[in-house]
Amino acid sequence: MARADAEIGKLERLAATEVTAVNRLALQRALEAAGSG
Amino acid sequence: MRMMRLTGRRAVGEVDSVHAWLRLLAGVLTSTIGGVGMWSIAVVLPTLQADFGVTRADVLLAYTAVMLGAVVGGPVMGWLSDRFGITVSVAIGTAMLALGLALLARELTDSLGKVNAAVNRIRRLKQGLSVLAGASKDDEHGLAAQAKAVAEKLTGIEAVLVDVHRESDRDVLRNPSGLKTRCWP
Repeated sequence: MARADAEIGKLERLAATEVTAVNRLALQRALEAAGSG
Repeated sequence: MRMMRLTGRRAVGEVDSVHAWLRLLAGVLTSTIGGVGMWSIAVVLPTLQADFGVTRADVLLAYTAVMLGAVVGGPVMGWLSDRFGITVSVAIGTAMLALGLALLARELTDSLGKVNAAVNRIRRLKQGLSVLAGASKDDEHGLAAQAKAVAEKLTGIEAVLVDVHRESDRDVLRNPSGLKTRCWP
């Protein structure tokens, strides 16, 4: 289960950094689209 | 009175009777089946080390505790057998073994439940990223590309977790229908 714990740790880090970054970018694009529209 | 009976020729016949041999055979079988988890541990030590990510010293500490339990428990069980009969000591041994296996089953179920939850979370995240990537197809180098890259990383993690779950099913659980916690096809 150590392997699973390591992968779950990776998932947590990925969710906290890169997924959050994608969400932020999507929100930014949506706001830009709403502002220009 | 009893001593006198045991010293006679008939007493020797009673001690070596078929019933006595059958009782010995039953005792050896019970001990073998009940104790296989304890004695076969040396065979699975490397697997245990890898599975829990611990050193040989950590595993051996736990095994030493098991052996101490056996050494201390042996005389106690012997005393119980002499005092109350073999049924009591076998019943206590069975109950303790069942308790140990139940705790192990709970631990495994919790661990596999954590893996299931992580895989389900990955699948939800991938669905969301797929929607984002699909909604911004014209944005080749921005959002869509970033979403695809993150989804690929998530797929890698998912593959390892599914592999861990399959290994647990095959190597540890074998066929315990009550412990199947898989919730994806």
